[in-house]
Amino acid sequence: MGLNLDMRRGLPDSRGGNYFREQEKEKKSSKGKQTSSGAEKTSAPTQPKQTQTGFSQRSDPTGKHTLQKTDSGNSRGSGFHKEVVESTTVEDKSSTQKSGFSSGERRGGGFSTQPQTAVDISRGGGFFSGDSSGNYGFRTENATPRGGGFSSATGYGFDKTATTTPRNGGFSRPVSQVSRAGENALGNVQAGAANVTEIFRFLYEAGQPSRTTREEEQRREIENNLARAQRDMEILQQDNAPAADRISQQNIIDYWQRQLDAFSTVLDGQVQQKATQATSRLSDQMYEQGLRQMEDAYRGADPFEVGFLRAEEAAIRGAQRGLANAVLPGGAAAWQTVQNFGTGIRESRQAGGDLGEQLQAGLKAAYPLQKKYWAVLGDTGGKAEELTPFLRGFLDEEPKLSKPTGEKDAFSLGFEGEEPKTSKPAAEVEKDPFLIGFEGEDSSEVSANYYSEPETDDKKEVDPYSNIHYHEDGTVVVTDDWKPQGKKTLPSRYNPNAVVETSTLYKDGHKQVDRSFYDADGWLVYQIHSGNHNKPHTHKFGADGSEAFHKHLFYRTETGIKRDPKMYELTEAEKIANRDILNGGKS
Amino acid sequence: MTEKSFCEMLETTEPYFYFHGIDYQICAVNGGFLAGESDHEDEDIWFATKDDLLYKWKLQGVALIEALPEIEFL
Repeated sequence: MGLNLDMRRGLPDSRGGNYFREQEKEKKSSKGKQTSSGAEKTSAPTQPKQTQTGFSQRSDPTGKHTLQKTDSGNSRGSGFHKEVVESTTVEDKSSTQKSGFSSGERRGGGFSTQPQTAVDISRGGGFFSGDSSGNYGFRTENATPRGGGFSSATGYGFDKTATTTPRNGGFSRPVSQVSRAGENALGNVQAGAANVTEIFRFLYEAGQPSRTTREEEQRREIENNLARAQRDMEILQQDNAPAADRISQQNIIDYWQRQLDAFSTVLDGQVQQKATQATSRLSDQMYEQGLRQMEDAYRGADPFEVGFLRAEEAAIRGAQRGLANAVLPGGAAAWQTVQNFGTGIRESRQAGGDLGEQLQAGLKAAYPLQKKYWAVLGDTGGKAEELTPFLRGFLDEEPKLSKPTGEKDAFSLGFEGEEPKTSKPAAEVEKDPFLIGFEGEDSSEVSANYYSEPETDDKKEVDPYSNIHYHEDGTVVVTDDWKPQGKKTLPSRYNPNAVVETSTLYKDGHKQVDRSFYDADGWLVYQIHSGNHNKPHTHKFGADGSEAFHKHLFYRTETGIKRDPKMYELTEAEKIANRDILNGGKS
Repeated sequence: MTEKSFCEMLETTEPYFYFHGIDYQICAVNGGFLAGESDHEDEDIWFATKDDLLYKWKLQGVALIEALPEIEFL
C-alpha cells in the first residue's frame, strides 16, 4: 500500500493518523466504528470576570489595600477540567506475565491528581511522551524483551524476528499483535512530534521577514562603521599620524570588515532558510514514518487487533493530554490545538501553500478546539495564557476567520460538509487585513474569500445564563431585573451566572441600585452596591474616600454561603462593568 | 415577616424597612450589623450577631424580634 499524503480529504486531527484511518475506513468500513479518542469533558468556566484571577484587591475601611486570594475561584466547585480516558489492558492469555505492551490507567505519578492514562512498554522499545509544551520524544532501548514484546536494535523500528524466541511467556499469536501495538504507538507519537516540529518551523519561518529586516539594518550600520573607520584612516594618513595610531585604526577597519563579511554569509536569511528547510524535511520524515508505522501496524490485523490498536491510540492521546493537564491546567486543550495547528500548516505547506495560506489552514484545523481551550483557560485565571503566549498569538487570529462566501477553494475555511451559514455579496466582503502582514505582501487575494460574519444580538444572547455577558460598552448584562419588585430577599443560590439587579427607594426619594452576581453553580459570590445605604460615614471608598459604591463578597460554606465581614472597593474592571449604576445608579 | 425569613434575608441583604412610619436601615459591617434609623447614622448601633440584633435592638421601644410581624418593605 502506497503512502498517500493527501490529507485534505478529511479534517486534520492531532493524531496524524488521519490518513491511515481513512484508508482503514475504506478497507474495513464494515468492521465497526472507530474507537473514539478519550472522551474529554470540560465544564465551562463561567465565572464572573472580576474574580477569575483568583485575587482581589481589597481595602479595609482605613484605606489599606491588599491583594488577597479569593476563595471564589475554587469554591465554586465547577471543576475546570475532568478528563475521562479510555484504558485498555492487554494481557497474554497464555502467560501469566505481562505482555510486552500494556496500556492502562495510572493515577498520580507524583505530579497530578487527575486520572491519567499512561502507556507503558515494560521492556524494549519503550517510548515516552513529553510535556505540554509539545516536546515529545520517543526512545527505543536495545533490550531483549522478556515478556515476548518487541525489541528495537536500531532506530525506531522493531525487530520482528526477535519475537520468535521470547524468553519468558510464549505467545501463540501475540507476536505480531505486540509488534503492531509497538509500531502503532511509535507511529502516533512520531506523528505528534512531527506536528510540533512543524509548528516551530512555521513560527520560525514566519518570523524570517522581520529577521531579514533586522539583519539588513545591522548590516547597514556595520557598513557605516566601516566607512567611518576608513575615513578616519584617511585623515590619519593625511595628518601623517604616528604609525601606532594608524595600526590601531587599521585594526578597527579590519574588525568592521570582518563583521561585514560575516553578515554577508547570512544575507537574505540564507542560513535560516536552510535551517527551516532542514526542519521541514525532518518533520516530513518523522510524519511519514509515523504514518507508515501505523499503517504497518494495522495491515493484516484482525478485527480484535484493530480494536486493540485503536484503543491504544486513544490511550496514547489520553496520556498526552493527561501529561499536558498535569503540567498546566487546561493544557490538554491547548496541546491538542497546537497539534491540530501543526497538522493544518503541514498539509498546506506540502500542497505548496505560502506562509499566509499555511496560517489559514493551521487556524482552520485549530478552530474546533479553540473555544474549548478558552473555556478551560477561563478557569485557570489566565495562567495558561501567560505560559503559552505563542499559542495565544495564533489563537487570537481565529475571530478573523469565518465561512467562505462562494465556492470552496483549496483553502476554504468552511468545514467539510458544512454549508455557509450566510451568504454575502462579494462587494460587501470585508477585506481581511489578516495574515502575517509581511511588508510588500499582498494578502487581498486570500482575504477576499473570507469575511467576518457579524454576530447578531440573537447569537450573542442565546442563553443568558451560559456565562456572564457584557454589552459592547463593557457594562455587564443584567439577567434579572427585580427593581420593579422593590427590595426583596436575594436567594443565596439562583440561576447560574445570573446578574440580578435590585433597587431600594429611600424616603428622600433617591434610589440605590445594586447588583448580585451568581457563579456558574448558581451561588451568590458578590454584590455591588452603588450607594451608601444612607450611611455615608461607614461607606467611604476610593483614594480620597469619595466613592460610596462598594462590594460585598460571599464565600461558600458547608451549609450555604457566608458574607465576608469586610466591604471592598471596586476594581477598575468592576467600575467599568457597572458604571451604569454607579454614582447614583439608574433612575 | 417571620424570624426565619428575616434571618435568611440578613444572609444576603441589607434590609431597609419601615416600622410605624419610620424607616430603618441595617448594614452588614465588620462581620456584624449596623442598625438604626435611615437618616440618623450617628445614632446607629452595631450588633455582633443576629440574635443581638433581633433581641437587643429596640425600634421605638420594641425589640426587632417583636416588630418583625409589622415591618414593611417598600
